[in-house]
Amino acid sequence: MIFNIRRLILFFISILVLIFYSIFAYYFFKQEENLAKVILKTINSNITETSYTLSKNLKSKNDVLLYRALLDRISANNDFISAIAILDDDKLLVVTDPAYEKIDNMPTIKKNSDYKELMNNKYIETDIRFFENKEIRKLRLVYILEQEELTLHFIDNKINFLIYFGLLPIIAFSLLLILLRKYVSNPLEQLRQYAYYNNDVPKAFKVRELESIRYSMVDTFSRLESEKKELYLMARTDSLSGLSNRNSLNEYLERLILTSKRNKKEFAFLYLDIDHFKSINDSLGHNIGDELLQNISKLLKRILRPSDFIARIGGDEFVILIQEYDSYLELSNVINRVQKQLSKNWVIKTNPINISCSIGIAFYPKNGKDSVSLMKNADIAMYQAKKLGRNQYHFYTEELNETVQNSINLDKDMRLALKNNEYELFYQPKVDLNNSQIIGVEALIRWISHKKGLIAPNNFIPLAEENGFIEELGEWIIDAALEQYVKWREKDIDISISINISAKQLSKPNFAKRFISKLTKKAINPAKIDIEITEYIFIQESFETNNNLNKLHNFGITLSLDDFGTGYSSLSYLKKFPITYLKIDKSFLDDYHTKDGAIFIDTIVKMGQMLNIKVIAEGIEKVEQVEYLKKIKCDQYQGYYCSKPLKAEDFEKLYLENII
Amino acid sequence: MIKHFILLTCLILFFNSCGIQENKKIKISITTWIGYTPLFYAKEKKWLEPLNIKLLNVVSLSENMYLYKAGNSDAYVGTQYEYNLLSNENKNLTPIMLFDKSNGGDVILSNISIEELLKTDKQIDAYLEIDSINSILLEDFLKIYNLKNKKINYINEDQAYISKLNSKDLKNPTIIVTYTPYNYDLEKNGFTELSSTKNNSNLLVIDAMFTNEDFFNEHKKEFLALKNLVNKAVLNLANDPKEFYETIKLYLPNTSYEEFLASLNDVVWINSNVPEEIITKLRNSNFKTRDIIK
Repeated sequence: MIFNIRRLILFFISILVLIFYSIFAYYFFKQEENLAKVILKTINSNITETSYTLSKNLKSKNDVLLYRALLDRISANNDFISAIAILDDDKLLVVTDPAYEKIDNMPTIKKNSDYKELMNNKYIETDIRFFENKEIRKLRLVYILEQEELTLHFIDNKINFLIYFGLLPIIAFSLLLILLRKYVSNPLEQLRQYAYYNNDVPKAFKVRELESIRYSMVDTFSRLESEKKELYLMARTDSLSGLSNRNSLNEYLERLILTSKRNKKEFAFLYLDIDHFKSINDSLGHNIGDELLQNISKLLKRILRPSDFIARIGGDEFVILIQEYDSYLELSNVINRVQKQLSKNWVIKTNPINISCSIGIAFYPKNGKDSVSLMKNADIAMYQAKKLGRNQYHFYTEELNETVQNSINLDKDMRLALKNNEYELFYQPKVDLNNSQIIGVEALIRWISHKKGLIAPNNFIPLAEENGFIEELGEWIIDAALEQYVKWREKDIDISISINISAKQLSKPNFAKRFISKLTKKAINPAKIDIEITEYIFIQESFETNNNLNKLHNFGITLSLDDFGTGYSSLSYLKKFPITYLKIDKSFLDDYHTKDGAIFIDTIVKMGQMLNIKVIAEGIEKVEQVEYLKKIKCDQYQGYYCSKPLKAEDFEKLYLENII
Repeated sequence: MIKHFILLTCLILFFNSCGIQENKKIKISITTWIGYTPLFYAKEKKWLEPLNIKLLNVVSLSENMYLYKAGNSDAYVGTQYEYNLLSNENKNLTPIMLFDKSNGGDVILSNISIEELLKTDKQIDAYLEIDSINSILLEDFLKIYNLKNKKINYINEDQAYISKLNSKDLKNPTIIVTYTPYNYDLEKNGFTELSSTKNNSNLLVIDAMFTNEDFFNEHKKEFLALKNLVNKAVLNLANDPKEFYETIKLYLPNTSYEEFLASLNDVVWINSNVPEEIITKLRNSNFKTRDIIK
């Protein structure tokens, strides 16, 4: 049978309490009996003495009145006697308390217990025998007991007993129990919990022996903990490089796959192998090779981001897991950075070493859904990179490889094109539907490559938006458009120019300031300049964007919301931003002849009228469309019906023809 | 479990103690005197029970005093004489309640006339409670009637004994110092009144209750309540003396209603509205007045 220490202590104390209180009860009742015996004996002695005194002094029955004072004194001096009476048979001769007019004949109850006898008898009685002449006379001397006083006295006695032998021992036992609990059982329980759960370290104990045990346990557990940590690290760390090893990679990869699966997110698995590393080991020795690997590890740790995971899984093989990238281009930039840094000139113990690395890339989940397939496919891709001449990277699929390579090439070409002045602005007229006059143009970018000819904006603008080149290109567009405006102004071509501005441009803090400055320098009337934005800007709404739009509007520049109806088309944007023109997307105008299509166009035009926003229809190709727009009182249109986007000089001709 | 055990035990002890605990009774020793009948009235009306007060009835004033002195009572009633006797030993003794001023209630009786007393050459027996105001009264009487030179045989007995004396049984000239209601029995037994506090304006005899200052302060609430009960009893006496008599007649043995009514003339109630003159007189005779409940 196993006892809990707390229960054991309680058990022993309960036994002690039981024994103590059994003794206590025995002595209490014995003492109560003794006390009753003493009281009874005293009263009996007193009554006998009084009876004797009276017997010797009484000469006649009437003399009893002369002893009233004696009886009064006896009664008053004894708390347990309420009154004393002398009776002749049942006739009351004298009583010390007149309140007792009659003394009942009650037989004296003799009991085994003095206490019961004392408490149950109302009177104690004896005879007074005296001689009246020669005749013996007998009177009854009755002591009327003060039951209330007797009860009170025994109660007092009981209270004292309970306090000294009942309550105080309980307090003492409780104190003992509390002390044992505080200093023994609680510390032991804490030690048990510490030994079992090994979580909270108990504070120092007051009892020396327990404290020694606690100290030893804490010391042992600390040592075990540090050894455990050490073992854990050893099992998961590559001893040469200090990077994670294959075990750690597998654990991390398992967690990452689960997280990515849940979040439906992609990550890149990079397999990096140092080119010709074996020859370094063979020619310069393993110690040089090892030191080189250590330096490479440090370099990788330094150039990669904290969110990237690096592991050394073999002699010169590393795995890098990259989660945070927005595009393959960004990923290729990271890879390029790694390759560039590794291909620097290394000096290991005075030995100059030139190295390069090949990297194979596989993506979760499209190239592998588990660690084995990701490892295998990244390895294949790495060998492909080696096969293609080393010092390069290669994606697992040719298609992806091609897409990424194209993006990289496009990025390069796009930036080069700006330097080579391969970009040109084309202008598409905007026609007032009231008088069919050209009242403005929208400036549209065109890339006329020296090698590939005309490249449509949708082929390079998304990439420019993605890689940030749009900011640079956007500045060029603004400058070119404003320059053209000035030229036309000088030729009295009084039109307004709409310039497309990207979300990235508008999110720059000083965009509005710089734009306004350009207008001021060229003394351009801001009312003649219109900025075209898309709903995408509102989705990425920021303080800077709002600030720039408000500043431009306040300066007098109008704002056009392009492609209205194709995105969120939230009315709250129209309320919140100072929009001057709504441009209805071509897709709506293509359906003008259908009932459903017409409803949409009609609704947008009416809404514009109600909100005091002018409406421009885009992609107008037929006269019927123009007629329809006039009918519904649309403000302007733009499209091939009037003219496709034209070079500046061609537009001039068209404009001049139009005004004649 | 430990907490439950301790709590349970303490609760048992607590309730046990609560159930049985009762304050000690306040014991007041009292003697049979018309001036103290309001206390008997209160007792019989069971007004004293809620105050936990018990009356110890004895037959003499001195017995009263000795009961208190022996520690068998917590307060006692008596005259200035009983107060002065004890206050010399117990400096904390203090009068707390006034009942009455004797106005004929203290009486000197004799089996012969004053003239016969003056003429007699015999030894004169004088029955009295020596350790009481009786002594003062007797001394005063002897002085007033020039009996100082007479041979006086002082017999110290309590009033219960004295009241049973019969003039026919006495051979010597006898003087008895007694007080109402014991005088009625004695007058029936052939004694005649020679003098009383009524015809001695110099003699101030007041009846009061005395106790220890500490005890008084400890039980002030009960004594204040008792004082109110005394006032109430005196009021009831004034309103319906018959009812009052019927309630307390057990304490006035052999006293008829008429005698009771007559004895009321022998005292002046000073339980409330104590004349300032009396207070001054008491103060002048080293009688503490500061604790007297007004």
